Amino acid sequence: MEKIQHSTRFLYIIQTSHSNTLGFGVATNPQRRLQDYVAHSAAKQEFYQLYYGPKSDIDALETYIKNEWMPYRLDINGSWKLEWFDPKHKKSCQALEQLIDDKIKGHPMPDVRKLADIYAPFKNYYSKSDITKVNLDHDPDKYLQKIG
Amino acid sequence: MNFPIEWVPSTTKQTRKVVNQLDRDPNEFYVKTIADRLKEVNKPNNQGIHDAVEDYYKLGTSFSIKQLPQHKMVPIKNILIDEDIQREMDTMHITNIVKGFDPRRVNPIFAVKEPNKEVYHCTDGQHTVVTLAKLAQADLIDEVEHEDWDEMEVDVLYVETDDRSFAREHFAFINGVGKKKIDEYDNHKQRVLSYRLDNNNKQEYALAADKQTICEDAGVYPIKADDQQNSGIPGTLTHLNAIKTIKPECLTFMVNFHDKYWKSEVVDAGEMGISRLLYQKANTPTDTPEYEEFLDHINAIIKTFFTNPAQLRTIASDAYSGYSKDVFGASKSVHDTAALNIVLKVYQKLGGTFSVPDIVLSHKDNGKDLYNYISPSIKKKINKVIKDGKDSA
Repeated sequence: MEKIQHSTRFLYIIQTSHSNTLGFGVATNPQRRLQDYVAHSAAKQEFYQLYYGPKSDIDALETYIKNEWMPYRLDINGSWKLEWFDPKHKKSCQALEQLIDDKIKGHPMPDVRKLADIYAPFKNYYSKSDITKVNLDHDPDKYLQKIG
Repeated sequence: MNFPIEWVPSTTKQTRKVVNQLDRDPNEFYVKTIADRLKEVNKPNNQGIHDAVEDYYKLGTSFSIKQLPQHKMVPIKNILIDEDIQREMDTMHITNIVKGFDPRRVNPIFAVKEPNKEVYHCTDGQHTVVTLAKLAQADLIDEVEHEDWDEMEVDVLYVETDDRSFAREHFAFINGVGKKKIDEYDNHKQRVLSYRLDNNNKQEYALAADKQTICEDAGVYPIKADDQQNSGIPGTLTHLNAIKTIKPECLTFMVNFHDKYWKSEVVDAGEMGISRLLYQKANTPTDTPEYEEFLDHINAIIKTFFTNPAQLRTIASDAYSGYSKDVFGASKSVHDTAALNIVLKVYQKLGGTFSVPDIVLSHKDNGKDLYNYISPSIKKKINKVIKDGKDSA
């Protein structure tokens, strides 16, 4: 079966409710991804912030975070670093959001936006969410805010 | 010329700084003790090692110094090379060792000794022992009469066993999992430090040092692929094989290209491929204001439609996979001109008139065009810029 190529993606910031660990990731369906976190942790979870934009921009942002905060990333088996930050470095959601916003402004990536304040944090794992690609593409100004 | 998009430099601030291992003064040497190294190994996050030790404890396994290979000087005539254990002898390899022979670099021969016999089956080092035999036979070893070449004693590390499968495994271990492959960075580092620290002016060392300086002057730093301290920092370069064969003038162009357009990014393999081709395949001199304007437009295309060279590489690779499947009947790995080909086609679609490299003409076969295989959303964005340009004209 041919793999579906999505032209847009989401980048999320998460701080787990059960271990307070800060992390990030890329998803094509944030609702389903959040549900996975809930199922695996057996606890309610939410995405502190959600960015939406072209696949190449979102993938580049993910690489940027990995590189820029490489020294803070969790390294459990000594051979590869995870998309989680070691709590001993005391990195916050706000600091990670600032890092991402600064990259979006500095690059610049004008097509990447983040959730409007009234929609953040994203916690729609238990009900139908308005935050879908169809809605965001149809009326981006309603759900998303520009950065910078 | 009037071009519908323009180059916008990045203003992202760099927070991490490269620790350049090759920026040293003569007599500035770094040493570590085994104890220092052991501290690194013993870090709690090196879980694989701790698990392996734990497994030995559970199984009650321990080792004895007596099990380590024994050491002996052995006459060459007592060493056998089993053709079904060792690889075929490579005469060219022997030739290279003989040509640059330095007795200080000779390693011991690894062997398996037959119990109660003075017979040693070589498991690693056949090229070394044959080289030594050749030099002795040619009367080039002072202490050996040439007719007695096979009496010459060589340094052998051996294990005594009648288990031939051990010899076979030993060969596989020494040449496979038991040997850490040398990264091209290690070769580069050795050449640069030999020149910078040891004043060894061999031509290849001088050339490596020259290339290192070219990189450093443009804020580009070659690093080892698994360099934990520097990995991911903008300006770091891990594709040492790519610069090894490139002429200094081409490298200068490539690193200046990075410094001007992509200094807030790691030096990506895709970027190096593009800048190399833009230098090597240029139809015009590359140091003119016109060429510089052309480069501004090319990089504006990369940033506007593909984000950066790394993303362009991924997109070109996906596009080439689909294109080659339709044209050749099977997906092929990406051609090294594919990314630039796409960018040059976009340049011409946007009305660019500069005399571009002929690469623009390729990847158009059997009525198929590589350009058409890039993501529809990117083509939509390109078409919008074209339409907006026409509307405003």
